[in-house]
Amino acid sequence: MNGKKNLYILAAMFFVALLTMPAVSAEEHADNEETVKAAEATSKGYIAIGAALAVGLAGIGTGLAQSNIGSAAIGAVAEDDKNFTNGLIFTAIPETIVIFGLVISALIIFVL
Amino acid sequence: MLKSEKMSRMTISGHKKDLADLSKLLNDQNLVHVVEYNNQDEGFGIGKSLDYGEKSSDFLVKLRSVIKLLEVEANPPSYLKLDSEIESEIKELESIISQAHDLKEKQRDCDRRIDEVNNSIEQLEEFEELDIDIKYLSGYSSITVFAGNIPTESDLSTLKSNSSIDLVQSGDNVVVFCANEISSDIEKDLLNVGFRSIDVPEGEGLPKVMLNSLNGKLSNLENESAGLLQEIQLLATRNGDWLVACEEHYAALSEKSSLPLKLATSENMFVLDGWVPSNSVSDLQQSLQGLDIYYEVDNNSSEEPPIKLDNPEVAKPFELFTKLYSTPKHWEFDPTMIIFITYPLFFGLMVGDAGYGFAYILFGHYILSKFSYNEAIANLGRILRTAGIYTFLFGTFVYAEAFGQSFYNLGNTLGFNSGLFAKYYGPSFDIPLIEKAEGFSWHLPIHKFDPHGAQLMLLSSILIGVLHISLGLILGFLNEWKHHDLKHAIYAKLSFFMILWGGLLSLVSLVGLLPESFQSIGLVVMLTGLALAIIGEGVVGLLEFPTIFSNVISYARIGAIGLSDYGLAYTVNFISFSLLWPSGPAGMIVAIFVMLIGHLTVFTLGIIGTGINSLRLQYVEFFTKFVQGGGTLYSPFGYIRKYTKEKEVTP
Repeated sequence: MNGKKNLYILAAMFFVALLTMPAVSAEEHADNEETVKAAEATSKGYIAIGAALAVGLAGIGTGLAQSNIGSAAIGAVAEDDKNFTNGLIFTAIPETIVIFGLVISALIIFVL
Repeated sequence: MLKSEKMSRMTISGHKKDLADLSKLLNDQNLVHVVEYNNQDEGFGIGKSLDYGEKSSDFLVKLRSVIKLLEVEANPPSYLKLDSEIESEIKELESIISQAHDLKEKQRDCDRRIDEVNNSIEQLEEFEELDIDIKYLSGYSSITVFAGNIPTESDLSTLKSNSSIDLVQSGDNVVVFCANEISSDIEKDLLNVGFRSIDVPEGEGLPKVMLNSLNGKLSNLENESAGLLQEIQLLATRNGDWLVACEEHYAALSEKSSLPLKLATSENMFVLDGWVPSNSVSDLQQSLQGLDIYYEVDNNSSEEPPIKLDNPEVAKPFELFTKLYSTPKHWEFDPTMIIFITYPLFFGLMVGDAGYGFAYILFGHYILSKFSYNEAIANLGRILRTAGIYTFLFGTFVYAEAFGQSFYNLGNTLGFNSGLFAKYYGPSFDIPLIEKAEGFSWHLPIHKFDPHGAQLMLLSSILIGVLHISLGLILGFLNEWKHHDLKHAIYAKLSFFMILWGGLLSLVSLVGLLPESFQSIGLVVMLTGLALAIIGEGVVGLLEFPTIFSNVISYARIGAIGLSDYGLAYTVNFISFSLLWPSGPAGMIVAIFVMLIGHLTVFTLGIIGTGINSLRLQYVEFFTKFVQGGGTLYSPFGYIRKYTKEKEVTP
């Protein structure tokens, strides 16, 4: 599975990049105004990354779940139109996951 | 409203000879929902269709096959054809059928010949460069011919120097003639230099000349095929409306003749078991007077009646969504009226854009006027139009936005800042839970680009969710109470109502909006609810406990989709007007292109994405609280004609 391997490599690279980001600590140089500003900017960056991860990963999860359910639902609807509503409902069930992600990311952005 | 119409059970019995009259009368009245006889009583059996039934279904089969063959599309009815006209004209059907079959046969034959010529052309094109008459490439007894292609860069010097063979080369085509005895050696040599053998086409003449004549033949055949297609289409347009009208007439006759198939009949008698809307019983009784039959009406039957949804005209289109889910049982609430209010409300809240709203109204109206004769599609148009009206209102008064552009900016640019074009209109108000920046106060419109606006949208969506789900639970409570008993209703519905509101109460006091004492009160209410659920439903109650909260959170999509639709439209505007427009005339053309495609995408996503999501909130979060469904839809006996009418018989 080449695609999966690429995905793992991409994810690993992303986390390495995340760890090597210059994190400035404000505690050591609390007297220096520029350092404090930089520290604030860094923490904002982390907040943004956290929020993006929350909604993005939840989206991937929903996508994985929906791809299987969706194809099965379309098969069922092709067989009998009456299955449309049930298909729609089953397909919609994992959608809540991404909404959870969205709510968490909204909390991260608005509360932190 | 909210309840399906009351039905009365009606049994009609009489002599078989009156069946034809009864069938005509019931067909005209279009009131009786006939319950099909299950053939389980001794001495009774299912009846035979009326005498004209066989002939009608015979015509019907022929008509449907020719309609399919000619690919006739039904047009909106222009005028109503009389049934007597149709019956006198039906003789022409045979000639139309034979014409259609003839033309189709000719077309198939023509297509087959086109395929053959195309194949020959393909084969010949491989030898296009060759300067030998094709007939010399085959038909020898002592000589083997290798004909095919060879890569242009390959080295043919050894083969060329071989004096026992003849080699003709032009371009990448190669033909080698050799004696049969050495053919296998030569073949090896050829394969070594990359030779690829090609089947030799039949015929005689130089390839180029042959290709010319074949191409001429092909264009002739294609002309012929196009002509045939035109003739078929002409036949379809000339007779399409007539065929559709005939099909309807014979379908109606066939349905009318099939009444005895649904009844219990003995040697001489018949018994019909059916349902009639209670308020139409007297009408039906009056018209039955003229027949020599016996009938009985039972207003309080214990059997399950078919469901005739009863909603005001404006809400009727939304019955589509109810029926799509499941027809409610007669003791259940019919959710149509509630969907009529909440579906377009959610849609409007999600898109919330005056520009798109106006576009949806126009598009809905267009569908409605174009397909007014097709009830299902027309209803979709009506639903879209209603959703568009809500979208327009929310876009104008709540979000002040058109096509992703806030219009208070417009007021600023044009130099006036009042009314609709003001940054804010109306008095200021307070919203708990959302911290506001210094000097900021809440007004309408809510700006989606403002983080405060975004928070407000998410928060109010959740609140809408709580109310919507509570309404569902209340209706579910009443359903259970009526169908089972109060105890069931409390265990199954009140328990979750308590869980929801108890949880909400303690959460609200946790964030400081209510005194701290409410926290424990809420917790007690929630736990009592949970206990009731577990007593009533066992482990399932425990498992369902968190779903009520995930259902509520699911409503956050109302705000979320609103924000993302706005984000898309805003990006389209930004790319076309801020990035592309200033870069010169070429940029302007691309900008217009990007703008059209972009807004069209958002418009379509609005219908598909928002439409489905608004529906999903109804089906998954709301309906599961109170609709069980599984009822039988009321479908009265009789065919409703659209293209034809029966001649009035004057007495």
